Amino acid sequence: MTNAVQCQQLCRQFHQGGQIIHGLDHVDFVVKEGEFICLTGPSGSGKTTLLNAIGGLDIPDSGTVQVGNTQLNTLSNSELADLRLEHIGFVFQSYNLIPVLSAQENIEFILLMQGVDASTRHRLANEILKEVGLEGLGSRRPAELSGGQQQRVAVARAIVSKPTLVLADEPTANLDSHTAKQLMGLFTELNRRHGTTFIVASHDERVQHFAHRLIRMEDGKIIEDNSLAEN
Amino acid sequence: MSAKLPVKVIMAMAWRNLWRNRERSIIMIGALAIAVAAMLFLIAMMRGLLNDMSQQNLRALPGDLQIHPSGYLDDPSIDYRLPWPEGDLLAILNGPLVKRWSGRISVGAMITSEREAQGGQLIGYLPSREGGSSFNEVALINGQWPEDDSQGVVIGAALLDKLETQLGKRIVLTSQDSNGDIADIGARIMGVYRAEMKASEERIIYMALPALQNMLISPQHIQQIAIFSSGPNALHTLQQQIIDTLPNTDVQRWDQLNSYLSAMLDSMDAIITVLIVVMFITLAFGLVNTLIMAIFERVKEIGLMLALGLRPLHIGQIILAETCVLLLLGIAMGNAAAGTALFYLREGIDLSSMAEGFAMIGAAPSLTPQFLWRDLWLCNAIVVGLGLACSLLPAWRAAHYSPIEALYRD
Repeated sequence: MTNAVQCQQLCRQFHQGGQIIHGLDHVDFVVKEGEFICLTGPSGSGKTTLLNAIGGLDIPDSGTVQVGNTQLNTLSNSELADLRLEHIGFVFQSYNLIPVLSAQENIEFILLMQGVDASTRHRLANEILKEVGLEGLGSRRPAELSGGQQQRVAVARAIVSKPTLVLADEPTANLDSHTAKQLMGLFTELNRRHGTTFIVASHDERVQHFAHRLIRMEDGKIIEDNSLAEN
Repeated sequence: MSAKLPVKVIMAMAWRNLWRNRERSIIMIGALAIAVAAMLFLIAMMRGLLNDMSQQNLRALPGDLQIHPSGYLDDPSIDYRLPWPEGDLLAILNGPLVKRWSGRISVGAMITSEREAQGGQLIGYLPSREGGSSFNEVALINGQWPEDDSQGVVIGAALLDKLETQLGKRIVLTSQDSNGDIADIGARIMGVYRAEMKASEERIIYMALPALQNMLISPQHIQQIAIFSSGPNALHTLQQQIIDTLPNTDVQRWDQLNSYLSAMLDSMDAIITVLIVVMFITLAFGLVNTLIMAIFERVKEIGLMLALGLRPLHIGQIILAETCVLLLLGIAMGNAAAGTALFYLREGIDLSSMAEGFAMIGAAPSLTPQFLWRDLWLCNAIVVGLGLACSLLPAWRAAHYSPIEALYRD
C-alpha cells in the first residue's frame, strides 16, 4: 500500500501576545492509502494546523508534506489550488458554505469547478443530498438551514466528487447522534468502496469508533499513534 | 486540472452578492445612475447650445462660405466692393457644390425716426434670390417683405420700439456712399420681423439690394457673396475652386470667420471626455469604498473558495463581475433617466427670461438638447472602463488573500 500522506519533521509556529506557540512541533506522520484516521487531542493541540498543512492551505515553517507523490512545498499557490480541487475534500470547523449559493449549488460547486457536465452534477448532488438526509432542501440557502443541516451540506460537498483524500475538522460538531452516525456511515462506505483516505480531527468518540487509527496530539506533537481494530 | 468557473456562474454569483447588502448597492447604483444621467443631459445641452450658436452664426454670416473683397473684413465699408458674379465664378456658384447663394451689401448706418436715432446694419439683398424672408430665418410679424424693386425696409420689432415708430411710417437711413460722402434716403417701414436673438432684432434692417446700391451710388456692386454649400464635405473643395478663380478676394469658411466658435466645436469631444472623467472621479471613491467593504465582509467566504480549489484569478473575476453588474445597472438607469428627460425636452427649453445673456454668446433663447449616440457610447464606455479600473485594486486584494488567513479571520 502506498502512502497517501507523508509528513516529515513538520514545524509550524505562531506568535501570539509575544509568545511563540508551537502549532506543529517536528511532526512525522505517514498515512497509507485507504486509511481512516482520527486525530484527537485537546483544543490547541495542533489537529487543525496539521490538517491545514496536509491540505496545502498553510505553509509549514520547516519540514515537508507529501500528498500522494506530490511534494507540496514545490507547488505554487495555483498548483496547490488545483491539487485541492482534484484530490482533496474539505470539511472545515466553522465556515463551510458559500452564502449566496443554495445547498445544492454549494455541493455542485466542486463538480462545476472540475468541469463536470450539468446533468451529472445535478444527479450526484441529488444523490448525496438524499444520503445526508437533506432531500428536498437543496434549494435552500445556508442561512435558511440549521447548523447541523449546514454541516451535512459541507460533508456532502467534501465527498460528492469522490476525492482520494478527505480532511475533516470536527465534521460531527452540531450534529445529533443519529445524523452523526449516518454521516460517519457515509464516510466509512466511501472509505471501503473507493479506498478514500480520511483524516478526521474530532473530539467526538463516535468518530473515533469508526477510525482505523487513532492519533492523539498535544502541544503540536503526536503523543500517541494507535491502530484500532476495523469496525 | 485547473478550476473552471463559467462566466454564467460568475455573473450569477456577482448578481447575488450585489444584493447581499441591498441598501448599499441601491445607493451606489443610484449615485451612478444620477451621475450618468447628469453627464448625458449636460452633454446634450452643451451640444445643443453649441449647435444653436453655430446655426445662429451661419444665419448671421450668412452661409458657410463667403466671398469678400480684400480688406473688407478689416474695414467693412462701402469702399470695398465686388462686381456681381459672372463667368467662371457664376459657373461655380450655379454648380453642384452650391446649394444656394446670393450677393449682398452690408453697411453700418444711422436710422432715424421722427423721435429717436439708432445705429444699425443695413442689409441689401435680392428678395428674388433669397426668398421672402432672406437667408436669415426671421419671422415677419407685420407687413410684408420687399420685392427686388421695393424702396421700403423691414425692421425688427425691438428696433421699432426703440425708434418709437410704427409700420408704414418713414425713417431716414444715413450711411457713407462710395464717393466718401454722406448718403441718406427716406424709406417707409413695410414690414416688421421677430428674430430669435434680440440683438439682431435691434440692429438689422433689410431692404432690397437695388435700393441700397442706388443710395450708396454703387450700382451693380456688392460686398459679399454668401454661399450655402451642398454639405460639409463639399466646403473645402468649393473654397479652393473659388480661390483659384478669384485670387484677389477673401474666400473664407464659416469656421475661419468665427474661429472662436469653431475652436469650441472642435474641442467639444475633448471637453466632454474631461467632463465625464472629472464627474466619474468623484464617484470613484464611493465605488472603491463599496467594493472594499463588500470584500472585507466576505473574507472568510473568499478564503473558503480558495481553499476549495478556486484560483486567485477566479476571485478577481468574481469581484470584477460584481463591479460590472453594478456599473451596468447604474448606466442602464442613468441612460433611461437621461433619455426620458431629453425626450420630454426635445422641442427645446424656453429660456426667454435669459434672452439677453444668451444673445451675448450668440445663442437663441430657446435651448434644444442635441443627443448623439456617440456621446452615449463614450460616456458609458468611460464609466465602465474607469469603474473596472477602480475595482482592480479591491479585486487584486481579494485574489491575494491567503486561504488560511482568510478562513480563520475574526
